[in-house]
Amino acid sequence: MSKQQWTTKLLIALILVPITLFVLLPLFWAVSISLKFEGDISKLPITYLPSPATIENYIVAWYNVGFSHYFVNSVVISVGAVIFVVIMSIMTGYSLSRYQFKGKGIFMIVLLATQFVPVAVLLIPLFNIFNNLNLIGSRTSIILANITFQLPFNAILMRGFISSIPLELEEAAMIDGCSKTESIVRILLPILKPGITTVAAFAFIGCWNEFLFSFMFLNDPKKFTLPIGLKYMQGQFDINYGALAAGALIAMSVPIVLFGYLQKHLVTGLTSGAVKG
Amino acid sequence: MKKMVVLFALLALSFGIFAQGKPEATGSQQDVASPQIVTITFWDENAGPNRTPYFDQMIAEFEATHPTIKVNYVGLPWSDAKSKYDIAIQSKTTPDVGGIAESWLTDFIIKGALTPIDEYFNTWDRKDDIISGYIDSIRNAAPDRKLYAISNTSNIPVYWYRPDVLAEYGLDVPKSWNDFFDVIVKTTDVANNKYGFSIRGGSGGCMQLEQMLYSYSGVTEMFDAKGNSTINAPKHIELVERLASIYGKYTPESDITNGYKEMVAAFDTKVANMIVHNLGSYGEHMKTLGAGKFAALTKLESVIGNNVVVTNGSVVYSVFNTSKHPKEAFTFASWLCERDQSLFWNESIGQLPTVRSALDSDFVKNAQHMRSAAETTADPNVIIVSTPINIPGYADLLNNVCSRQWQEVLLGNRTAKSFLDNWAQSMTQLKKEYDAYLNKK
Repeated sequence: MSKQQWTTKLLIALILVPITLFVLLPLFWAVSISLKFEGDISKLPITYLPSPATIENYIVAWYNVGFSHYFVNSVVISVGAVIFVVIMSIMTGYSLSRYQFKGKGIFMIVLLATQFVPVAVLLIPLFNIFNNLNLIGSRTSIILANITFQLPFNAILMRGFISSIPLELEEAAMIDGCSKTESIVRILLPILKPGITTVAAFAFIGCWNEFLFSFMFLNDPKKFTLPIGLKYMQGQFDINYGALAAGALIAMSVPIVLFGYLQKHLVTGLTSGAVKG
Repeated sequence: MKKMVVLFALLALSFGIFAQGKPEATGSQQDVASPQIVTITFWDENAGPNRTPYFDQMIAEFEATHPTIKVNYVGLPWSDAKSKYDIAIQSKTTPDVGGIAESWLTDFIIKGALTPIDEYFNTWDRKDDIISGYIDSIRNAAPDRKLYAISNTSNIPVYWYRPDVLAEYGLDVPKSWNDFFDVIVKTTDVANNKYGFSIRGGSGGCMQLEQMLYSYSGVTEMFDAKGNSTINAPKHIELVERLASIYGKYTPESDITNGYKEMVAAFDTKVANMIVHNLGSYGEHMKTLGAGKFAALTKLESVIGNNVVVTNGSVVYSVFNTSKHPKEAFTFASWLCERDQSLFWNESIGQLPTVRSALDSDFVKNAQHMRSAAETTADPNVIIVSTPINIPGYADLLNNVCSRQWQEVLLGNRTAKSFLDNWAQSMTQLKKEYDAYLNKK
């Protein structure tokens, strides 16, 4: 390796190492706090490593606070919403990408404009609608609310992915005898896999972190989700820092694993090798 | 084809998820299998791992002693409990009975969300055991002076201090405000990161400041005869100036953004020798500092020689007007206020029972902070006054307007007089609007 290459690598490392530390330090701190006894957390001098260590905070979060329920509920609600968001995003994105129709421009603007509306503004109208539908208190209301808020952005995102896939591929499939649906299912969807992954990841994170609707629409603690569980640890006069850190790490575990697994699909190979010659 | 099958399966799965979400009613229900059993819903406004287990225990006991009533407990995180109630009131999906902060009471009454419980209360055989002052305070929050809640716990401001530090400097426990400032100055050791006091300059700071102002001045009325706020009394300006003068010198500089947890952390990590809060933070100090390492002072002699203790309410239990079983809801609320439950609850959370017979218990007699609080509230020479929590807009004014100006004072960008004059003007206006509303009714 030449001297210039070494210098370049060193410079990159000098930039990346502080950024990595900046990102990892809070995570390390959360892990450290989650393994400390409650009385040791705010003692001075600060101890960076728990000594002695305990898993009591994880037990408190999982069993006493109810993370065992919240975790399952978050998975059910997020997966349920993501499936619909992905399917509907593909449909919306496809029509926006492939068809010309009256009002398409306005429809796009409307989709974009929904991103400017604060969630809290729609809370009472949505509550009343779901209440009239007798859905308050059910996870269905949360799934529907999540679909409503995740769909516009993800539909626009999906439109971009679909637009970057040449129409000629579908036309070629149709010349070879495929119907329109078959050309989408057999040709478009396999190539769209990175786009679907990206949309699913964005929608999942949005649903996973959603607090307001879950808290307002649900009344049975057994149906509450992880973000509500995290709020439980912050009382009016008492904050259970150890259980809060343990709960936060439990809540983070799924997105971390998910992103670790999906990262290679997120942006790579979108259309590589799609059109040859 | 395989992918179509997968897609279909996923769709079926999601419909399955939808189908399993069976809605449940918020309020009371009659048990279908056993028609004589009534289920009531109870919302706890400050749930969490340090409190909910006590409620679980009490509810199990209640259900065992009241076999015809089943309580459906819903714990709400404190930070968002008020919003949940607001939405529930708006959509008429409130619980049968709920714990609410006393400062929300008037708002809920005005919105017509609560049921007057005078009829039930008057026939309740334990009613005389509740200290009448608490009942009066709840009645005063209602524009129609009816009773809309009962309480099993109370809270008063506490000057938390560390006896070991006072002993180290050879100082006595302060008795007056002048002693208090003297201790602050003498126990500060900046070189070793030790400060005499920690000011709550951030979230919630003005509520605490207000309690300190009236305790310092000895003023006992929040409004004068003409309905003008007394918050800008000359002695109040004096205290704000004194606090601003010690900020950063005898207190940590970070106090400017101190919310509750930052201020408590300053005390519990032994950075600050004294803080002003209330009985509620006892558990936090106990957890970190341990027994005997901290103590409570519940009164300080004002500059005019009297003793004024300013409360800003506690948690009360109200029956909501959407309840189909108000009698059972009251039965549960009143049971929580009986001696044994009140004692158990307050011992668990470190607050003062509102039940007269509980004040003689070992818990109150043996715990220093409880003994001090009980003596202070029972002392005929102590004047207990309440902040104007019943006036709509009060909390918003303090949290959104006054707190910013309080920080400006600490930073030296605003005078104490300007700060308190603005506060008084706004408070007077809010009272006028509230009075006009009451007159219209």
